Amino acid sequence: MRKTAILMAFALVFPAVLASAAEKAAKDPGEILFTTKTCVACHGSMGNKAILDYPNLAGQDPVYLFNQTQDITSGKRVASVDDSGHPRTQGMREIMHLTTTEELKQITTWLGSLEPDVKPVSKRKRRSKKKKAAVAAPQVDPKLVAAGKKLFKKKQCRVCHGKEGKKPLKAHSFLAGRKAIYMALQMKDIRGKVRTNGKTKTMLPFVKKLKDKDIEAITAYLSTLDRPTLKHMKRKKK
Amino acid sequence: MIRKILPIGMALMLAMPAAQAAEGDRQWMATGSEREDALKLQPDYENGIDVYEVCTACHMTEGWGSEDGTFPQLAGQHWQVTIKQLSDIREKNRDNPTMYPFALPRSIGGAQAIRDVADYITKLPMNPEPGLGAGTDLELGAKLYKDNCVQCHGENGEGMPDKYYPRIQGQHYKYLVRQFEWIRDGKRRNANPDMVKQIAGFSDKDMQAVMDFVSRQKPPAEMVGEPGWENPDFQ
Repeated sequence: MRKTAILMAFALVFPAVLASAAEKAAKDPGEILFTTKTCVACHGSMGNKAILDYPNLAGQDPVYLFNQTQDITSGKRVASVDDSGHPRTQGMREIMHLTTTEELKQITTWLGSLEPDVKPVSKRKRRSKKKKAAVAAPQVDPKLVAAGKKLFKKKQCRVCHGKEGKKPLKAHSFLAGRKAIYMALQMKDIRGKVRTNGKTKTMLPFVKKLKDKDIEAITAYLSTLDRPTLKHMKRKKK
Repeated sequence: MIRKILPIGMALMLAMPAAQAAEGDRQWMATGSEREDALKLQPDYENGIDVYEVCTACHMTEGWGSEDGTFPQLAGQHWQVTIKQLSDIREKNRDNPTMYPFALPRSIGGAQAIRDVADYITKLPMNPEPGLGAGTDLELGAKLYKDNCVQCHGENGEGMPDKYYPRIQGQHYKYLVRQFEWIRDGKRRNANPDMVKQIAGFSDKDMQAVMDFVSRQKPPAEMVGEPGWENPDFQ
């Protein structure tokens, strides 16, 4: 009797175990493409460890993301020149031929399905005995953050980006917890009419009169906020 | 009037800083380059593996690049050449906005890191199946190669490390064509001026023929990896 019970229990559990193993093994095609098409190189593991001043993409509005890929490819979205001596978007533009539109839809859908605070994956153990220098987290001036909070309210950013930049309109970007340096560069490019793609034209009057110090404050404030969850943004996790 | 202008003009000229490579400048061999420091250092192979990790995303864990030529094969390249190109990219003697961030010291490290990763790369087995050209003009390609390229790139495309002439044998065809074109047409600013002169008269047809020939040049057998080989350093 006991043997049968055990066998029955096993029979009930086993398919479920198999199914979840299969689920884990089958990766989202967007996730695979994100690696094979080299997006991971600049935007980091899970799209959440972008290098230098490039943006993290995890959990961002997927339509917004897709539109950016199209605009960067076509040249509709350009940027000011960076330290390389080229427009900031040029490095990405020159490899967009690696993906089809359909693949970009899969990639941006996958990115949009991630929680904005998803942890990047670190696979390899370092071989070298040399210690990698620890990078200190940048210190943010609390006065700057307070000033930024006031400005965010005063300048009505909430109208499109939502309260605390956490609940944007459809196809707009959430801002909470994003990299300050990236946001500051975008705001300056939008203010300077260098970036005019999509809804950034609508944004121009909101930022036209901002001084560099204002931009620094607003982006510092936004970068210190907790990133919203998909549930908070009323988006489904895949 | 002139007596006043001349000394001022001379003072201005003397005050101008030593020429740094800038957009539009052409420099085959920049002086005071980090390259000079890196060349003198002893390589640390183990550190080279760690430095190389960031490169794997585009150049692949095997260093075999992509067949469509977007990313070249690095495996087996002379360490002197790798050092020079990395230095040139980060000093902006060679334009590459996609790669530029990855060549920066804060991404990979200083002169020692460049020396280390160059050591690792040169020892990687090479791609047994690079992207090839059409194969329809190889007789022309062979002749053009013999008449124009041997003196620098060697009988079999093996290059000359001491002179920084790269190993080109078995490189992806589309990458070869793009670089050849840019060197010929002046877009590649760190091109060797002798090469620019040498290939000035090449038509596009010539270019495709000779690059197809080069893509099929075989490195020594012991340097070539097996098809499907996966680099165990990154598994």
